[in-house]
Amino acid sequence: MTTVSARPAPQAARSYLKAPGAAASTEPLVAIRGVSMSFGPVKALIDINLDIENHEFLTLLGPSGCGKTTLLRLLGGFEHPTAGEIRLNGQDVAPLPPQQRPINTVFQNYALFPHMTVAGNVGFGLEMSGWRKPDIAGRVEQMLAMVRLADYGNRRPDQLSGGQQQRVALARALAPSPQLLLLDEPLSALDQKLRKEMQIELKRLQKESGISFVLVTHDQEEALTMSDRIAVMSAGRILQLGAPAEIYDRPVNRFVAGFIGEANILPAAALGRSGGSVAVRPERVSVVEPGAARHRGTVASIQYLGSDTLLEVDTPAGMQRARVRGSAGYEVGGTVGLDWPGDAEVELQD
Amino acid sequence: MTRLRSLLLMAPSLLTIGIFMAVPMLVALAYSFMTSSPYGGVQMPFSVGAYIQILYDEDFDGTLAFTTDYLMIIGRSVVLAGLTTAACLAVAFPTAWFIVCRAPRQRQLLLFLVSLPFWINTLIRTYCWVLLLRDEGLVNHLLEGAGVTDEPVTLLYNDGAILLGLIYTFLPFMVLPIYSTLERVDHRLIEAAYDLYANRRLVFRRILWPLARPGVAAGALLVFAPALGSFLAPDLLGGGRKLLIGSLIQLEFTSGRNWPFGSAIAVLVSTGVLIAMLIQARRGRPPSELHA
Ligand SMILES: Nc1ncnc2c1ncn2[C@@H]1O[C@H](COP(=O)(O)OP(=O)(O)OP(=O)(O)O)[C@@H](O)[C@H]1O
Ligand SMILES: [Mg+2]
Repeated sequence: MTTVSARPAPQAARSYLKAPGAAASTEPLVAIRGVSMSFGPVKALIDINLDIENHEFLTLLGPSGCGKTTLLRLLGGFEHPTAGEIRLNGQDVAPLPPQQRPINTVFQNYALFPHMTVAGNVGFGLEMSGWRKPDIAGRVEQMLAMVRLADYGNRRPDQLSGGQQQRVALARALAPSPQLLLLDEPLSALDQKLRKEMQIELKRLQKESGISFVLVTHDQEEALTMSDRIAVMSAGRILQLGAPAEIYDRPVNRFVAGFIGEANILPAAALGRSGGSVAVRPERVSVVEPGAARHRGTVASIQYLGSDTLLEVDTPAGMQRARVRGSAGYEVGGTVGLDWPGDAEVELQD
Repeated sequence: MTRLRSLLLMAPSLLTIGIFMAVPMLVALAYSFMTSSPYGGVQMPFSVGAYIQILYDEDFDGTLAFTTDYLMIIGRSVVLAGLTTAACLAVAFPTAWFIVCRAPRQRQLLLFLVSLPFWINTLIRTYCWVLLLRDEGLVNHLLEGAGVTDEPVTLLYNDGAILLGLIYTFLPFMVLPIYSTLERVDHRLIEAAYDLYANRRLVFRRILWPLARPGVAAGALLVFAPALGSFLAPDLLGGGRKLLIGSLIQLEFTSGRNWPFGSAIAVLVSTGVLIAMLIQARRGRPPSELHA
């Protein structure tokens, strides 16, 4: 198995690694402090504070237009923040252009150079940062083997399938051993099956290389399966930052609860609790005999999902969903009882 | 059946090309192998005399002496057309890139401005340069007004004036094809190159230039070919003092009354341009790796 060896960073970026005062052990790889970004009247990002740790897989998750791409472009150096600081190893890089940052990007449409071969593409970053020709050839071979395209060096990008182009883009971005890899919806153009494959592939590459990945997606499943940490964004802000399980089990507000997985939102008063509202995941809800149950309602709809069945139940506290195993004989209009354990209830901030 | 249909469908364009391109060139080719009649026009018998005349002077007693007169004219024209092409390229590439980088609505306006000269007759536009550059012209007025000179500077009737006129006339033919290729270059390719540690110079050399090459090639041909045969600028701005191919051909068909010779030179130039086009079409086909 080939691995991405820890090579010296490209020359263009090397000076920042050795800079005095850099890389105090407590300093994260990237520290984003109070960053705001406006395009004229549009506030794309508002006071973002975020740390990116070494070796981590961080995902920016949020609906369209929430500022994910903008944050990624600030990290890559394609845009510069209107306010705030972006520190890389303790040094403010916010004003630096892309070519002076040891950070590489996998673009959404791959942006492979159409007039160069696959090998030419993968070697481009190495060539630009002053590698010698024989070293480049060796490294390119290694990178192509890593993305399982060993025999494709002489092809042109337009002779590759979407998934293969994706791998070339990955190999090209990883070849110069950046300290941070940025990926903007890299899998959105692939079909479902290929997407699943590439998710595993991406995760493997990240583990093997030890490089920090920041992935942008609006696919919550993708975020949950791949990430070490997820930053959930909405309208230019980060609403919650944490491990996938933490975000799923303890969403801080309605938006996060509804955006990641499904959630029943109930007024706290209906459960005899204080505060605003409470979220309960449909799969934590069990359908029981109406007599003894805490909540009762009539079945409004039944959706058969294969291994599971999703019931919508009309209760006094509003419409609740329950996801149960199998397809046991419920019928629309029937009365059922709903119950869930106390720890399934998550108090929300709003 | 379908072949007949496709032939019929292609007929209008084939006819157009045939009538407006092939026929005149074939006529020129035929004339070039005939003998001149003393009152203009051509007559039999067939002869290759016109082509021999390009390289050899025929004395009264019929002996041939090698002459470089016409080769010099052709050489001068090629150099001038080459300089025109190079200068147009140097101006047009940044111009085209500038336009591509504007917002779409501004682009429309700028493209309109670039093509504005097409709306005015070339003769008139070239003559305007005479008015600007002559001794009592605007440029000399300004120079004198600014105190740069006391005497009018001779700006007209030299190679520089011809070059200026040619560049001015053919510049849009370079800007437009380069613009159309640059416009199609995905902006993310440039960002990707910067992302992979290329600087501005390398982004130009390794990404922009190779991707714009088909446009550059088209523009070069569109400028070089007509510049080579042009006679307006050489005549008006150069004063017709030193002959160029265009003025030579024109001369042979008018006062020179040597149609075969004029045709022979025209055929020679056209063949050269045609060969250049063929080479270009060959090289232009697959976008090729440009470095080892
Ligand atoms: N160059 C720009 N000029 C003006 N407004 C912009 C520009 N880029 C982004 N915006 C605005 O900033 C906001 C955030 O955009 P951004 O592209 O970061 O969203 P996103 O989260 O990546 O969305 P998507 O999931 O659709 O890609 C949007 O309102 C967008 O219209
Ligand atoms: Mg985006």
